[in-house]
Amino acid sequence: MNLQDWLPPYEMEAAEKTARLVAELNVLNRHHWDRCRPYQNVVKSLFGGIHEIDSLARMPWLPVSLFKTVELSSVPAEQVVKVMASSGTSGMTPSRIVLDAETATVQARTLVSIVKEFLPERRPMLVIDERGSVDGRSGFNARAAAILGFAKFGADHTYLLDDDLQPRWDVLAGFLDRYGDQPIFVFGFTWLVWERFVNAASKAGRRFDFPESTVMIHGGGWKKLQQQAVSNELFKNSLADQFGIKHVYDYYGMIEQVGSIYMECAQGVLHAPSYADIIVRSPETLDVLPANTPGLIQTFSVLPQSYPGHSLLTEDMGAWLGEDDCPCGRKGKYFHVRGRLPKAELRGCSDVIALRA
Amino acid sequence: MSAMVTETPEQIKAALASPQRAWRSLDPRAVAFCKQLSAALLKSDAARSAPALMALGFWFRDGGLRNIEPFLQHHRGVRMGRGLALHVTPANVDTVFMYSCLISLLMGNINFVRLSDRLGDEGRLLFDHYVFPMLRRTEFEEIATRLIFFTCPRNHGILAELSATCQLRVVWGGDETIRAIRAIALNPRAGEICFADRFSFSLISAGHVNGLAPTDLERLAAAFLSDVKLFGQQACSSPRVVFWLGDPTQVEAAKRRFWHAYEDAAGRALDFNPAERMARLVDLSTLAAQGMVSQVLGRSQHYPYRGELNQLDQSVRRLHGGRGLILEITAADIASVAGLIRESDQTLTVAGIDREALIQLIEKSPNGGLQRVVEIGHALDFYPIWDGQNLPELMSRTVSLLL
Repeated sequence: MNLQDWLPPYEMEAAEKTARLVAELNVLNRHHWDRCRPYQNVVKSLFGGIHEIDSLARMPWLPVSLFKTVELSSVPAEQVVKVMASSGTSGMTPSRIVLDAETATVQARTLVSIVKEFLPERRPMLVIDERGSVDGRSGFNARAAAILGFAKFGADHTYLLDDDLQPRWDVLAGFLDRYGDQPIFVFGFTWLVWERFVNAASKAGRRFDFPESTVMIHGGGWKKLQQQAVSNELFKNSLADQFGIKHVYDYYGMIEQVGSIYMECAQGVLHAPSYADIIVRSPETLDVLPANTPGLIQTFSVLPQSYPGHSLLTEDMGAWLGEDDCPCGRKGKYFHVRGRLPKAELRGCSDVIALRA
Repeated sequence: MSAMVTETPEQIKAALASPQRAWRSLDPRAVAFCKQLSAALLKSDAARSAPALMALGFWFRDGGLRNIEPFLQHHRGVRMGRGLALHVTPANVDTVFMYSCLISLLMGNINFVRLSDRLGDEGRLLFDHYVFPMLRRTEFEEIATRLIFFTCPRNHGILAELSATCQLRVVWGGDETIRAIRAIALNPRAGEICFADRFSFSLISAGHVNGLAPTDLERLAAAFLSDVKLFGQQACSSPRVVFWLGDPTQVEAAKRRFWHAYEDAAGRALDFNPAERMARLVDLSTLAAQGMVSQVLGRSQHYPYRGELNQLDQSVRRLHGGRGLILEITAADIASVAGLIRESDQTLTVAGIDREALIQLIEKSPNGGLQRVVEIGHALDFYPIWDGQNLPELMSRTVSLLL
């Protein structure tokens, strides 16, 4: 796939986009069918073999958790340059995603093309995380991948948290002393931003004034915050009140489809870029659902060449809200994400089952 | 969990210092307790929505006498409890171990039951609302000293102390737990009953299904469904693989009929919630990706639930997570069914297979394989011989009295 053909990311209209996506996904379907035996096996047994597909709805998919149970690679081992693993909460098997040089490069480039739309120039960057999460000490996981991906938009990367994920307010004060009069970029995982930045500052009675033009991008999911009933609105208001940070953008993305992320616009909805898309399926029947109806999100991306991750049925719940007509002006489907399927409860005679899952 | 009834290891220690005496088997005081527990379960609305608790209540409706007495052959002697019994129970099957605890009580033992701190909803309901409150009543004061529940880590010293002094140790698996507990030295004179990891099947005659009248077919499908639904199809006895007996044409026709009736009985959600169905889908996809399952089916491809097995090896048994997942394999004759059975296999639920053929199958099965053959619909029915072990016999002793 040639990235240039798909740029800029938010200008392609539905008719053209769908036709091109379907064509490209058919190519990818064949590509992985030819090169990844487990993928071919799944497409054979779940979708009755390989056929030319005429719509996103009929494109074969893999359940995203399959990357936890099966090694899925479409490249010879010697071409693998990087294996990414999901952060994975304790006791859970992480996803493993194999990247060759080409896929890794195209992922990095697409991320740039998207973020450029929100952050036109390089800025001093504050990372709400610890340095150890990117220097390899904690493995190459989703958090590291995200920080490194976004680090390209920053200069003088300053990590707010210490090894124990506690905020170092003196470091922040120094950072603002240096850059307090110019545009700043703040990046972090959603729950870290909330717990270790917003909450920690209010507990410590600290207030900081970020420059008006500061942009914050955060992602990684709302699971932990939803448990505390923290809404996106409260999240944004708190950042504005406590830090004066007014341009806050969430993004939805996953380690299985790095690069093609879904950024939140000023309207508070997530946007599909030209080279990615979503549909929503009923959690009851897997039927494709119309707009404004919540269900399981299926994501498409034309980027994955080294592993069959171009069409994934996620365990995230959400609804698509419209296409090409968001007041922010961006084309493409826009949607929101509202939680995940809960983890299935274990019953049965055996403790071993509990250990395995 | 109500602290009033769950004892600490220190209290267990104290109880061990002056142990109770074993009773004669089927002592009326033990029978009365089981009978009252049963009555409480059977008349409770809360238990009514928990089929496993209703089944427990039903089994002990006369205190368990009718079920157990036939297993106590009369020797020339006095049937007694063995003495102190240590029960190590599993985390996930909340209620099945209660059968063995109560049988042990009925046989006359003093029972120390280590409960998991991860009891599920049905287990909490059973203990917090029925068992514990009953044990607090003065009328069951004596029973409360012979049915003692406690929790402790798996490596706690009290388990070693109990193992060294008890006359009977009952361990509910999985295999890992059994290995860990077996490493703890057991009183050389004690008996041990272990329930290891098991896998179970159905064996259906295609010709039988093809000949069934519609209402009988419906009944069979509904019975199969009820076996699948109990414990989320994750119990050792839950049927997970269907062996179809017949020639390929017969089997094709039988499958079409049977699964149509099954899907009708189940409704399209198959009674599992979306998270469970997603987990099932991941299992099926994993099996397919690894080439163990060739064709995955389910009405209109919506939440597929069954797959055609290419082979049935141990990894299929390991990867099968239940939750409505059905794997199928065709067998031409009884000998080829026997060839698929492994040492780890437990229950076979059957439809349309005659007794002679089943005896053949039992004889041809590998050592240790196959413990139980019952009709479809009875996969989870408790029976005093459980997992091939005669519980009333093993949980008691006969003092010969040859005068």
